[in-house]
Order: sequence, then structure tokens, then C-alpha cells
Amino acid sequence: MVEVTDTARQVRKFILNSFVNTGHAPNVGDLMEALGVTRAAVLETFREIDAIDTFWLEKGTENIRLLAPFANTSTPYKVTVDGVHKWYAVCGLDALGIWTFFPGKTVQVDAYCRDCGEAIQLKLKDGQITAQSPVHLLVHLGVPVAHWMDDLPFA
Amino acid sequence: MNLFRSEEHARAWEAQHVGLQGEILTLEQALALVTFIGKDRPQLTYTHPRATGALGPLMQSLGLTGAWWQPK
Repeated sequence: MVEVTDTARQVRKFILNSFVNTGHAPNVGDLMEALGVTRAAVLETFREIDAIDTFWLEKGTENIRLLAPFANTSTPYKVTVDGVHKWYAVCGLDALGIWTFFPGKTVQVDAYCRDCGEAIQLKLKDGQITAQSPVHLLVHLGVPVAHWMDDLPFA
Repeated sequence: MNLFRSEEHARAWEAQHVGLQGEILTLEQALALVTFIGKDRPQLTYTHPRATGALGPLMQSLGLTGAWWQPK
């Protein structure tokens, strides 16, 4: 079992709250200000968060690229809640799991088949798929599970 | 991890990407997997199942066996 500091857990939670409320991740300065910690301390928590969740920085930067299920950039998985689009899911799998941050609400995922481009739409509520188009859909996982964390954006 | 209309479409896309060795899940399997992994994610105390050793047994419980599905 991986142990992490309370500060790391608070930083992780702050990032997720920021995604839920604004659709975007905070930057390091936002985290320093909100939690009253130094830049070095924030960067240390990033290493800790990486050990307990699916978390990724832009290569060579301290900018948050993703904290699953939220992407801090556009992806093929556009998420709309209560008619408001503010979010993108990291991938097709996370698009199916983002509902957990919006209890009691209908989460709509608009995507497209990565092969032919046909529109795909899913609606989920509290862990149940309530609508889907087209009727037949599947999820392709491109990288073996042991290598999921090697290159998250690719996986 | 992408959504496709059919296995034919998924394999056609895979063939365009060197090095991919993909597997396919039904929507129901994928929902079960991601729900187990992420249902507690909003909680302050959340830890991903891969860090607790729970991911391997989960894969097996979903019938996802073989080397491809084994965590590190």
C-alpha cells in the first residue's frame, strides 16, 4: 500500500474540484495560494499523486495534462452535464467513469469512432448507461495493462 | 483507450498504429472496469487499485485473464 502525505491528498482533491467547477486544472501558483505551500512542496505532491492515481504533467513542464478522468486539454471525449460543456475525459474508458463526479446528473459524452469518424453519443447517470448511439459500441485498449502508466496520453 | 463502432473498425485503426497490441471490451465490461477503478475517485482518501494490489484480482473477476491484463 502506497502512503502519501495529507498535503498530497489535499492537492489532488483541489485539482479535482477545480476540474469539476471550471473544466480546467489549476496551475502550480493556484495550488501554492490555495493551500499555503511552497512551489517545491507542490511539485513534491505531484510525485506523490502520481503514485496513487492516474496523473500526468506535460513533458518537461509543471503543467497538469490530466488527472483521471479529466483532461486539461481537448480530447475526442467531450463531456456535457446539465447542458453545459466544460470537460473532456482523458480517454474512452474515463469517459465511461466521469459520472462519479456528477452524482444524480445525466452525463453526456460526445465522441466519434476513431476509425470512420461516425458520431458516438453516450448518456450515463449514476453508473448506468441510459442511452447510446450507435447501438453497438466497444472500447479498444491499445496498451497492455502493465504499460498503461508508461505513456498515458498514448495509452 | 478509444470508442469504436465495431471490432472491425477498432482493428482497422489499430493496424495504422505501429506497436499497438490491443484488446477489446464490450461497453458493459468497460463500464464495470472503470467503475471499480474510479467509483471512489472523488474521495480524499482514494488510491488507485493498481497501488493497492487490487487491480489484478479485479481483472480476473471480470474474466480478463492472460498476460495482457496483468498489472506490473
